[in-house]
Amino acid sequence: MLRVNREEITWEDLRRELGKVEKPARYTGGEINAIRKDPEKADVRFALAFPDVYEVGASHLGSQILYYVINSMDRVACERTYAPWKDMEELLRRKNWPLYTLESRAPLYAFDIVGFSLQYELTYTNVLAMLELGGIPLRSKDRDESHPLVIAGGPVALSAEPLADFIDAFALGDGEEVVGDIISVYKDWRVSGKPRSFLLRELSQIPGVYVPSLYEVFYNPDNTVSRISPRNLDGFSAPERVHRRVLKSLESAPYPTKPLIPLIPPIHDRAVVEIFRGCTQGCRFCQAGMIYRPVREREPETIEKMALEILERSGFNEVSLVSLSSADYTYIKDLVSNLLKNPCGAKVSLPSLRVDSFSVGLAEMLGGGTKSGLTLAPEAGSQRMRDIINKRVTEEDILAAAESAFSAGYSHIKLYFMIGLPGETDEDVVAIGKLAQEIRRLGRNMGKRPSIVVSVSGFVPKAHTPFQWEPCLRPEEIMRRQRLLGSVLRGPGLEYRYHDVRLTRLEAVFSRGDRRLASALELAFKKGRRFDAWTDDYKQEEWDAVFEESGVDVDFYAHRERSENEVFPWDHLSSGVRKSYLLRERRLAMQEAKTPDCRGADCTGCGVCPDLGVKVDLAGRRDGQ
Amino acid sequence: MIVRVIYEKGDKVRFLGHLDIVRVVQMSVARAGWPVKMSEGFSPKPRMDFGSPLPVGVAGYEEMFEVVLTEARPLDWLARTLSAQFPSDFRIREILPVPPGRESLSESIVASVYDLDLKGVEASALSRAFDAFMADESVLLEITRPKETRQVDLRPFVLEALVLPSTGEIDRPAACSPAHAGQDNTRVLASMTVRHDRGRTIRPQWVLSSLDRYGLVLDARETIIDRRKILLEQH
Ligand code: SF4
Repeated sequence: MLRVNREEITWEDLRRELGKVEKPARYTGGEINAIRKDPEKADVRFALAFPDVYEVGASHLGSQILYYVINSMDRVACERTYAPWKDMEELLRRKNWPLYTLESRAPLYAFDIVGFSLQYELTYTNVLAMLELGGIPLRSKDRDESHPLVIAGGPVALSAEPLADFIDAFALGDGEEVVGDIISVYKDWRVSGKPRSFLLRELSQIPGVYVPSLYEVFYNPDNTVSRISPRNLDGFSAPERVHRRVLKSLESAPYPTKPLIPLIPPIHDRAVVEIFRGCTQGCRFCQAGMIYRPVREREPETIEKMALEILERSGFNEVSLVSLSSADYTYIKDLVSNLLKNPCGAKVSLPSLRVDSFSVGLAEMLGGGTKSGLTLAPEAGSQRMRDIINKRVTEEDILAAAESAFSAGYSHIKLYFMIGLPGETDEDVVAIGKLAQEIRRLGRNMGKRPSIVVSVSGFVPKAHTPFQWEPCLRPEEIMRRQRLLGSVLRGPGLEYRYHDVRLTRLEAVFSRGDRRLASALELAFKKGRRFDAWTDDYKQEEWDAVFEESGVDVDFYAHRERSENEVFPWDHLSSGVRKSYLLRERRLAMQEAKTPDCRGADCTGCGVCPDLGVKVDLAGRRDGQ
Repeated sequence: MIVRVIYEKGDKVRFLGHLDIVRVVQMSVARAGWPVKMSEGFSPKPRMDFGSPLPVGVAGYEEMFEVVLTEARPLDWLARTLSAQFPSDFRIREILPVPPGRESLSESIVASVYDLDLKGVEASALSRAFDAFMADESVLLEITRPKETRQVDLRPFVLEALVLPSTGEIDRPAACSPAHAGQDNTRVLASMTVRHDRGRTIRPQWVLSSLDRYGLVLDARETIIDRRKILLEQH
């Protein structure tokens, strides 16, 4: 249901209407350091599409990097668009205006390539909405040579089978290099004048590019997948498995030192430098910890130089040193203390702290006198559970961290936990409460008035992790455990917050789903589902109706333990971590046995380095140094 | 040294709110390398006074802010460096030194003059409604904000409300001038002067919304509103 001939939007029309929507500056662009290339002088027009609200997308680091990388290419113009909030979607529909990019206000259908950034599964309905509003046929099979090529990347791309019918090609892994390969294949194809099917075949030959329509999925009578194989198309077939692209080194990777600065504050309103990519702590529930391996660090001098440059060119008063576990960075202390001397007087922050006194020490260095609050993520309450998930911190570590925090003057401590992890018993749930009580007692004994916030989310098993075989608990059971925890978390100075179980369930369906979920997604989109991660607007009845009407068995996708020899819908997509390694990790979990971090120590054999031809790349320890 | 920067919040950035403007201006001044004096205390803030806030949707071409510098700088240096850093559709009109010991910018503002560009109304109907509004003693309007609803008497704030002749271009900078005005006979240009009372004022949009009681129904959100001038107390 393509809607061509939509009216072009003039500024005069737009400015009379935007006053009717919330935060109209989401839709007007003009950001500092936005890049406006002349569309006439571009051979390829690329639209980066972020399927969440502007404030979330505009500061997203991966998208900023790609925006910079693509615009650095000669005769290629990259523009941006974000999911319109519901009021804006309504306005676009009422006026019959297409979804447009912020730089040139061009409709999405006018672009050569539209690339979605997939950060979480609950944005899938927004992807469909953006395609339709952008005047692009929803399904890949309905697109022809006149339509844009629709691609998607981001962590979720490694298991985005529910989107398989809607996306022409997925880019797996680090995007910096593969995006250039895609653009150059696209250019050659356009010159060749060959049909679209030819483009898709050529794309499938690029390492890291997965073209879902070139694969056929076979199912067993019990509904599980029996086989996923490349289709045979007159002698041509796509590769059996697609491996994630990995940058060998972050040190030499392109990085925007003139970041795009939105005119309205984005959720991360600060300068950002990525200090390393990958994390090998090995937490067994964590997808990021598996799919971004190995660890690749930037040199401290490079980081300092970048940070100063960005601060000067942005006017931000804070720089965040980001990674999946920033306290692990080889030279973190020196780096932080050097950066604190920056001439701009900017603050330095770390997004993710480990649970130990070292990290609290770092936090104290950064604090600069403001002792507002400290966030720690023990993830589980009992030692047994922490061993199961391979969160290698002991109760002593946690208490020592809390003690350092109190003596450093912090009184608010926020603790993150999960419930519903594999093997969890009621005792383990209660242990979360006991740990929080213990920390409060510690603070009181030190003469403080501690306030402890316990934030709990339901565990969702993710693809490509050791827990991919595990069931997600049913909402009733999660709620029972939430209540159980609530009963031990009473008292002054203790606050209990928990995640909405309905979202947990929805996320569980889509994070390990197969391509048969396409019809459910399309139905949900047609029924008006958008922004599913935004709890205040979540409509359980609508999703129940969607699953019922489209014949989706929620139990099958979310609440079933999968057998060890089951073929998964993402088995043909390789993060580089071997399935045998994940299975071994799962068995070790059941034995409550730990696996060490391979950063700076022995390889634990996940397979990424030998299979993808990369290695752990730590600062100051490079070849020839 | 204290300087007053008179600048334009142009057409394309009209949808920024006041806090957005403060953030953008502070970051621009930081990039420009101005030696801005910071406040004392826990979390130091640049010492700047933004006068009278403009709401989301309203552009302005003689907006002002004042900033305290730790050391003196030539005015042309200030203008050059800040111009280079302002986002598009922000323009510097003038930078003036401010004599010490004068009352705060927000306190010294006495009135704002707005240009209104309305669509879908007849000039004569608007003119009648304005006259009726001005003839009233009090015009109460309920203002709903996210956290509170309050009654405001709009009438004492409005010093003047006029429909402008549709022919003849109004004298205003190109960036803020409505394109093709006059070609459209349901398009009416008007002007409104609104009083400020020690920081308190009203929005022209509210006045438009109140006109239904004089028989003129319009969607005030579709009106393009620009603040042409800020009038300061004369010493
Ligand atoms: S292959 Fe070995 S060294 Fe490389 S990431 Fe995996 S465990 Fe670490």
